[in-house]
Amino acid sequence: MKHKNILFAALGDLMRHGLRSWVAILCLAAILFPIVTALGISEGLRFQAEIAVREGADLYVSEDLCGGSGPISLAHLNRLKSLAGVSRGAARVVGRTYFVDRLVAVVGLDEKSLLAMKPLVRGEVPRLRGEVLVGEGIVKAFGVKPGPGMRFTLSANNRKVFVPTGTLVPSCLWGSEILIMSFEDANEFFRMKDRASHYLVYKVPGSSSPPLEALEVETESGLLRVADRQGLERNLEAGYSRQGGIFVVLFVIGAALTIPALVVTSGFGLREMNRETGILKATGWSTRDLIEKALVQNIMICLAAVSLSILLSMGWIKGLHGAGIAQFYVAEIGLFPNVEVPSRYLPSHALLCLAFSLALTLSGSFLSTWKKTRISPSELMR
Amino acid sequence: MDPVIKTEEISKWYHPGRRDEVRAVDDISLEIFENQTAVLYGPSGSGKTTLLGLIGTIDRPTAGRLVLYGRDVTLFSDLELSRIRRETIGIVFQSFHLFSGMSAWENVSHPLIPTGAGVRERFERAAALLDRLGLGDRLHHAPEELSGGQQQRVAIARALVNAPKILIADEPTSNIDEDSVRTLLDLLGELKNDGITVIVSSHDPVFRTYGDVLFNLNRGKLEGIHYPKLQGEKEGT
Amino acid sequence: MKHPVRLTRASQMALASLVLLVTITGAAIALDMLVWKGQRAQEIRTFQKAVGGLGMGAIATPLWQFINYDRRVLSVDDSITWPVPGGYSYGPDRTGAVSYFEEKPDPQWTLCRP
Repeated sequence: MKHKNILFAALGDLMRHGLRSWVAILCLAAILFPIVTALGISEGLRFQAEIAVREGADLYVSEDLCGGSGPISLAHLNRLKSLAGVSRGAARVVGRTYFVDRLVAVVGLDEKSLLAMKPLVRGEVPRLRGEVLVGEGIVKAFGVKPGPGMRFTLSANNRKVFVPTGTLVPSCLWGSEILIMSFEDANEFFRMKDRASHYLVYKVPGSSSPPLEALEVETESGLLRVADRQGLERNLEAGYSRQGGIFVVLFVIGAALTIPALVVTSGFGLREMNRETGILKATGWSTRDLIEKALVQNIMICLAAVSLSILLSMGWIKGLHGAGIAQFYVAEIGLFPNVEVPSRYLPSHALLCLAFSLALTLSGSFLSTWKKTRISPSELMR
Repeated sequence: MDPVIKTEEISKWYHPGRRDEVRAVDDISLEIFENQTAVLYGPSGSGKTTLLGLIGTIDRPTAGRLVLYGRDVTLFSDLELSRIRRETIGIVFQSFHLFSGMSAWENVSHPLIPTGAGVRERFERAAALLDRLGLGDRLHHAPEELSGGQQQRVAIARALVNAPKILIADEPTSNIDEDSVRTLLDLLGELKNDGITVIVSSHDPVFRTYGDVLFNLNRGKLEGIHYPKLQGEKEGT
Repeated sequence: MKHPVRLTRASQMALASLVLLVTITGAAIALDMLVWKGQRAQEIRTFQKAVGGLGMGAIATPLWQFINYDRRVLSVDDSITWPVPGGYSYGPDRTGAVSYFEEKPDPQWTLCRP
């Protein structure tokens, strides 16, 4: 019952000093907001990237070109397809182009892969040469909609005509600024005769046979470059780790801003607070009771601030597409993104922000409360 | 009979050893017995409030001892002193020190919070005290909505809510009108009848002939002890 | 004298508001997690399966050599940037060096509207 009493006494104090409490909550929420947003966007992108790796091929094979990956000759394809442990192989072209003034990806796929896109297409899947699927970002930016008369030509060769047959339903970040066409069209577009950007190799599921020995020989000899799924997963994990970079910056800035904010807010009515602490001590409250009350107040302020920052972040990113702020977390997305910014909020984010805010507020106010309790009540009340 | 309050050469110095050293209380030894009404009397700056603070354990002495009910509390820990303030001593401050924004009953019952008393019990005890003090119709008023005399009665009720054995009042007549002074004196008399030891500090002449024992203070020193209800004077040391 | 007790009603309301705020936040997080597990995830899976896996980094367009867009497309890069977040948000041409060469758009497509 005593602890319940102290809980309500703490709440009563927050309400009696409403302005100070609200300033502290809003300052803390403002500091937590960019951190919560970074965590949410990071998690959303990681979720999408994990699927991109998991649903992709087991191996990506390309040729070595001056120490980097270069297009692979189609002469390798039949041999790779027939290797032990390979269930399927497919050639793919991935490149980039400036569509009007906008940099977009160009992906050339075989027929089977194009047909697999059907559930995500508003319109028709490309079946003939010269037909292309357009990403949602391009549609929104240029008002491009599949229909009679709409076509694209190449600036370098206006006899080559592309007709948009469908629009991709937005699914992930990388499916927005994209043109998808047949493998042959992409080959021709990039002037890569008899070549592919890389070859996608799908292993027999659960196969225990040592796969692709011949491939390993050619890899060791330096002729081919192979990226395997396990390596990509490790890379992904490392790339989305929170050990450095923007998170360090945000936490450091957060700490640097919180401490002066708390100093300022705790300075509001400092004399009044000291007086009240003195009165409580003089009327029988122990140091432990006072510290408990301060702790409860801080927990309530932090809970309110964390909740507000999460709700604000969710509303801003999901409702406003992260206007103005997404560009600090996702490159090239623009001031007013026309693509949905991936964001995924987890309970661990809320707990991390709660722990961070508690660490900051307690290190400030808790210490000052403890110091006050060491001073005699009469001195506090002066 | 042993005194309930005994100070032994108790002193409170500010900035000791420095040029701006102030000896607010200097080497005072006195005894107050149970159920006595004691008055610390003297002009402004005589050390009354400081001595009252030392006796009330809301200030620590620079030197000397304070003995309450036979126990030397000078070296008590903060926790033990809190218990004494909660269970044994009730203090009425000169400027009342009520919490603004809180109702009268909430102010009165605030010392009960750490005791674990439920809100209903706290209300009932506060209401009973305020009713006794003539504020039964002001339970839900904040201090800002009360007169000086009413605020003082709220402060007295707060000091009494934990049923202390000792009530300390610092300059109780300084912020109230004449009618309230009479009410206050009657109330202090009632508390004495209830068995409470009352200690008052004041420079108000009305207290020269009030109470069982009067301690004359001047410049931090005890200059004399007077028993208003008895004949003669006893020189203090 | 018996008065109705306004038992710290304002405090109870404030506490209830705080609990409601926290509950709404928890519900919003739970709903978000649920949405991501359902239809959204299926759409992403369909796309990625069809294209053979495209996209890894926190960048919306295939700028700066693909390394941060998708390292399967280009596996080698001499910059030390991470695919964000967790590292720099910008490519090697924007990592604080004293020079920065902006890529100029080279329009390769012409729109022909009906």
